[in-house]
Amino acid sequence: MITILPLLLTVSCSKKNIIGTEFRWDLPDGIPAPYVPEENPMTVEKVALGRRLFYDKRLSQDQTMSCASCHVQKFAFSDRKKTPRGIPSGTGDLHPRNAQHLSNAAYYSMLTWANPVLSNFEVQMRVPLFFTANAIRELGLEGDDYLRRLRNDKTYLEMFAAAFGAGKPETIINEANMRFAIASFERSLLSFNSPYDRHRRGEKNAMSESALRGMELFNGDQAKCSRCHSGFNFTESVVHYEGKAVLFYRNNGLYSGAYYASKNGNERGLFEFTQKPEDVGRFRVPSLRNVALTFPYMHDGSISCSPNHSNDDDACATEALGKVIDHYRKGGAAGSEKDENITGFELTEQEKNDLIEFLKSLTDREFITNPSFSDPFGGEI
Amino acid sequence: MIHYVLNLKKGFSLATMVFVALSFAACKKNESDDVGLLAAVAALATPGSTRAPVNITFQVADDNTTTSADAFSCAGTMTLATRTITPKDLRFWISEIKLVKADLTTVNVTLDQDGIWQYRDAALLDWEDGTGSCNASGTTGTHRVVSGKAPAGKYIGIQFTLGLPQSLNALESATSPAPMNTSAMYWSWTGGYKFTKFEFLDGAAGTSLHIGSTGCTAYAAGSVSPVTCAKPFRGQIRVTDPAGFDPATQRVVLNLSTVFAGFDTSLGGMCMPGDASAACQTVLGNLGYNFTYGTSGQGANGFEIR
Repeated sequence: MITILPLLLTVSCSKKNIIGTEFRWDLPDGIPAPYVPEENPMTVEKVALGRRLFYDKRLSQDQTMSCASCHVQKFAFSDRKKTPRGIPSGTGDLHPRNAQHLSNAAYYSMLTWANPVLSNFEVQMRVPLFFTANAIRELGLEGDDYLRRLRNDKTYLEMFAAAFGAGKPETIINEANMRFAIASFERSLLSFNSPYDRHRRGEKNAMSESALRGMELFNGDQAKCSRCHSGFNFTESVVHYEGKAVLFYRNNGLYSGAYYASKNGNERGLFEFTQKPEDVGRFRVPSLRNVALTFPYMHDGSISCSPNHSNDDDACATEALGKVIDHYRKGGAAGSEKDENITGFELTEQEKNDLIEFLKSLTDREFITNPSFSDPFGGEI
Repeated sequence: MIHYVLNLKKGFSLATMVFVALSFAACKKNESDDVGLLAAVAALATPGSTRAPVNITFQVADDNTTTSADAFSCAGTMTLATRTITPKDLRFWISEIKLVKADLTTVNVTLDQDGIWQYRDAALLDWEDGTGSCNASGTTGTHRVVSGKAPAGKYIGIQFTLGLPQSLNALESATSPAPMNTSAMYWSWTGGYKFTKFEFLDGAAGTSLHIGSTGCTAYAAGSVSPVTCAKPFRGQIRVTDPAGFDPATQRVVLNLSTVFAGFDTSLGGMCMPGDASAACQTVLGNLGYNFTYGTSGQGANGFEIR
């Protein structure tokens, strides 16, 4: 018996029955494939289903919002708001955090600004979908009504069957399969076609002279931006198949310790979870992919442009990015328990403009116009 | 391993069980779970003990000491701290259940795996039936009687954990089997479950008591690690009666009157370990928790034998 068991086990675990068509990553040379949880392999059918669910307002308690309400493709799946509100029938309170963009979010070793337990989309998604215990309700789903809505839609019956195998609506259209499909779609949101990426692939004149000078500054010892915004995704906190998951939380010196002490428990960064004094004001470093599209900046959306630029995207990005650079140039706010890398630095106006030009070269126009990431309802629902 | 082989000879059903357990273990990523599961299988296989069915009835009491009926009803009211309140929801997990003998040693109660309320060594107790004042996030079924097996004998009390062991306190990517899939008990922001959930109205003022492990993190010095929780808020309940405890005739009572002593229900609010108000800290204290560390001193902590 003892000798037979391991053999049987080997067979039962190595056999994989993937339903549907294996999803093929379209990755440039040198970019590793994102980590995919074993229990939810990527398929073309799951990605297609997940896209529809991502844009479907029936996935909120009062059917007024979808994932896409706060993650808008043309803004690289951020929402241009300081901080968003959840469903109107919820509490109506403002969320304490800025909605993040989703470009290359599949590479994050931990999701959200400061929560240290939500390590993949499948787990994290329960928060915006179902979490109602706090003042903040995002999509606010309760009970099984939303599943009944999906089961009454013929298109979903076909798509869930294609993604998860034929079966009764009650069996295949379930909560876990819904999350698995949305997670697959989110993993497919890859952005590697910015001028910066094209320059890396050897395309001449992809980046301007100014942007190239800015890249030197970004990576250099003067501004030290790349100490935290490092690697191919411009954040140190990444996970993929070529190495161990890396995760850091840092205090970027945005506010003083006294400021955080005056705020609610859920506005103090990592401290909310660990209750360790050194974790006050610590957040996970965000990816700078498409950063010129994702203002307002910072965990609370507190850095943006002045109202007279609010109708000009490029001018607003220039002003807001300039404010962020100024924040780091002066070494953060007085009295802040800032990270050791935030020391302040000298920068001429020309150099500041070069840095801004470099950050703008991370904008991937193909990503924000890619039809396979767009709203399949065409705004009809 | 030799122990297994000896037992395997006893019958095919046990061999199947061990095989299923091992197959499951081999494909799971969380090793501590597997150890627990194998231990459970080993416990089932322990020779020499006659394990008899045991049903343990749980009940809720309010200020009213004259009635022996369960005080919780979705169609009625209760009195707590002399106020009339309307209950909306009452559910909590218990685990690691043991019966206490006269010499204060304990024996394990092995839970029936009913596929609905009881899973491994944990059980979800549920008073609400989704009707009346409980219709917001309620479910039809209720579960107030824990069923399992324990050695036949005389006992003087019961011991259990109010909450889930950390091996079960993890919301996985996939939906776990019942009762771990009870979404009303998810505490998704902490990655785990609410161990205790009691919600009620006093007039327009609503109180929500949600207790579970806090300070949970999978972050360790630059990398991702398994989730651990700094403040367990896992109640250590041990309630005894020198005259004896007979599960067939007596009940284990959660006395909400004791738990809410000193709490003004007319003010309402969220009562959670995270940033608990002074009033909420009183309730947590009545349940035996150290608010600062999330620990629990073993004792009755709001429970009684009646």
